[in-house]
Amino acid sequence: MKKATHLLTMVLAVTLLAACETAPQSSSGGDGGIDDKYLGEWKDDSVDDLQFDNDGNPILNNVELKMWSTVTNPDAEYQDQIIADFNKAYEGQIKLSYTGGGVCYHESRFSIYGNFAKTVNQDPENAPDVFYGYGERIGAITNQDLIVPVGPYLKMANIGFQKDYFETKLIDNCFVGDNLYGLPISVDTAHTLARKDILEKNGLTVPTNYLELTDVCDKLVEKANAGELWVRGNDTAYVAKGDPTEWRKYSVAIEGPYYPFPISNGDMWIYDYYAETAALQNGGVLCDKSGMPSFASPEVAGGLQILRDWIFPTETSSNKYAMSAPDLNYDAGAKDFYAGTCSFYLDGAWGLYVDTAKLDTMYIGEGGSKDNLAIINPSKLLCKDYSKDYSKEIFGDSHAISLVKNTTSRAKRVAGAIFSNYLAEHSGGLWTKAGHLPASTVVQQSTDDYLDNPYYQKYVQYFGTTDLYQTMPVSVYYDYVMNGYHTALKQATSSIYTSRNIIDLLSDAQEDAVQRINDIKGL
Amino acid sequence: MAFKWLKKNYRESEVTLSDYALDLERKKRTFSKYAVGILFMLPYLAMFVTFFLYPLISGLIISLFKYNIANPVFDATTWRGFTNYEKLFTTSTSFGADFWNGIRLTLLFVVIIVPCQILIPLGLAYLVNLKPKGSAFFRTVLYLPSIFPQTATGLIFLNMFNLNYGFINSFFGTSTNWLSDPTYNTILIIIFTVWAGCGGNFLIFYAALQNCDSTLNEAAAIDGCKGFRRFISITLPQIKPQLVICLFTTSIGMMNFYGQIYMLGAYQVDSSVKLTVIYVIQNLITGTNFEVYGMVSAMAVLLGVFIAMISITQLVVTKDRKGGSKHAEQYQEALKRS
Repeated sequence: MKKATHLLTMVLAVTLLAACETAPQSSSGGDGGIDDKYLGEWKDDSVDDLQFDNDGNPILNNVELKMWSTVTNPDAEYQDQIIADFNKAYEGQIKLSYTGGGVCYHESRFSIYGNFAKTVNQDPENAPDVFYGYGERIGAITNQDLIVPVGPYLKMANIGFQKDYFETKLIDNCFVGDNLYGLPISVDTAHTLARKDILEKNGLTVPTNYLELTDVCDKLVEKANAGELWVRGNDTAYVAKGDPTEWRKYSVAIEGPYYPFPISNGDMWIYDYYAETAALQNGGVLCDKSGMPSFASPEVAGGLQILRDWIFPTETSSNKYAMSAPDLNYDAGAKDFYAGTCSFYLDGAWGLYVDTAKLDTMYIGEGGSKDNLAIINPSKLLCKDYSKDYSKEIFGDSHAISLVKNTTSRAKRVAGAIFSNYLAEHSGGLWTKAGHLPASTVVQQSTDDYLDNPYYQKYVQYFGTTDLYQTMPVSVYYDYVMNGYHTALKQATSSIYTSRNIIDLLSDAQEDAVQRINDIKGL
Repeated sequence: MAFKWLKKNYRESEVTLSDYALDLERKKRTFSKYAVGILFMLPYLAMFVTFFLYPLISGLIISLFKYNIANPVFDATTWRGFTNYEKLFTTSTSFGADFWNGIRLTLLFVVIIVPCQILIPLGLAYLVNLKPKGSAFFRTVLYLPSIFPQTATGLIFLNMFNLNYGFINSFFGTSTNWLSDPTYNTILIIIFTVWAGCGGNFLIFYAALQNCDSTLNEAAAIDGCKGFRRFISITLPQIKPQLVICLFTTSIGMMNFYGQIYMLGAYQVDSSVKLTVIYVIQNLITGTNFEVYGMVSAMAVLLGVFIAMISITQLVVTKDRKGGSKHAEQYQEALKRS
């Protein structure tokens, strides 16, 4: 009996050790210790409730964490699943929960920052311990002393950190001076989808750059005008009569002018991604090193001219015909794309799962979505000169996770660092489903988590590599820069402002943004 | 024991037992007179203090500081006195320019929409009150737009008035850019607001018209007073209290004009035609603009002052005074005279 008890104890001990092994304690990639220059200050962690075992590992006993996240559905659903997996892996050690139910609080990016700042200062009991936001906004929230450096707590958690574990531009966003204020998780952008079946039926190939795109679009319009354009639908909800899967000729007389690639200037795909990518691929920058707006430049104007030509072609534009009708509503082209009455469609990365699933159901007998849908790499898609390196650049929003200053418990901060590292390590897998590209260079090379991932295989592989992605440089005036640029973009692509020069619109918007920043400084 | 204490204390202060009893009775009467009232008012008072008085006082205080929501400090370093207000009164700052443009735009909408939202429901209520065939149906249909959420009806309008596939342009064979052209967009917002906002006032006017004394109308008719004149001289004075209430509530509601513009002005690229004061405030506090809260509080306070001024003006213009006993007094006087 005594022997049996000993054996059971040994089995239990081995099981527990194995369990500890499974719970990842390692770094986001390498095995090295943290570089001391990234340690940063130990801020306000007055509650020294952290203990270490004999090996120097932190002992975490049911540490409860609260997280606020800027991510909303459908991403929020995937993020909650990843957090639930974390809770399972760290059962008894760390648990993320939210008093309102679920594992995390999600709120729109437009309002979460204000509420976050208010709660941290005025209702600290309900403030989160970790904040999941945008990497490019870390400067703004650090400036307001809302978050603390994560370096010391990564070190306490024995998590090695090297800058090169992450994509350079994304990790740079998380630094303020020499202090690391968060870990980058992922980056995403809007994507261009093409109805490959329609293009092929009409003897055209999927374009790979802007000039090819405008050429294909012109040919589609010419065919439509000549009554020779073959189209077919996918979703019966958008096709009034007949079998939507039947090939038919597009009728301009009945269906109106054919617009191959509808876009809306009020649509976030345009003003949050395409417009910025257009500026980048034409060599423009939106703000200077001091964070002040600097978008009133010929390069940025060149980018916006491409978007204006899209809707209002001129003699000097690459496209002869309008690729989109003017002044469209949000989600322009969604129903046309499925009805086959346009050939290209712009959607957010997180919409790709739904988009591809919809097209998967179409014509399975003809080869499934592979034959019907193509995703065009955003590089070189919004510029005419491909000789420059910047023509490949893609604008994206980056996500990063930070530790909130209110949490004075060291154990909680270390738990937060472990969780942050977990999210960075799990930025492949399910997170890929929402179309996010991992910030971790280790995950980028992982076959299990990323390269063999079905979502990577299906759509993320066409998004371009993470190193091509540029985010907005860290600026405490982020909102003013973006609002100013978006104003100019909306005007440049609106039918009301066609008589005005783009550079004039940009100059006016920049002047207004600078005045607003100066007014804020003078408060 | 208690009686002994009472006796001792009253002896010391030279208060008789009857004085004490009277005092006790008076207190009891006062308590029972107000207790029930206070009890009934308590839920409202709690809400009033929480959601009106407290934010109002906080807003007033915040407007005097450089209030940073991420780092709220009330001391000499953040004290600004009336500087925020001064900046609002100079259009050289973006705050002042935005605020006055917002006020101008808000007032423009008030001047156009309020009369529509009073006169149209009044006319409709008058017609329905004539009890034509199917008046119950018309009553329901006219109130219906007020039931639906404005986000839903706004979306319907967005699609109906779309340049490319909107029903309105297709039906009339036009190509009016209702959503982007500043003038047409303003007209659309006005049409939508009037359509969606008429139901409430219609119901009030309809109820008021039903309570009008029909004998007065009959007497006026016998005396030869006809049609419009009878409406102006007999009906209108009888529904004046409801008219004043509607004028007040509609005007004040319009000063907080926001939702309709947010929906239907979404594609409007000329911000000067859509940024009402509430819109300006909303725009200023998005994202990581943490330092503007003192300024936006000053804007809110100033807007409140404007609303108060409008209310006072309306009171003066209509020469109406609140006071529950006014009509009773008038009745007593009339009775004495008769």
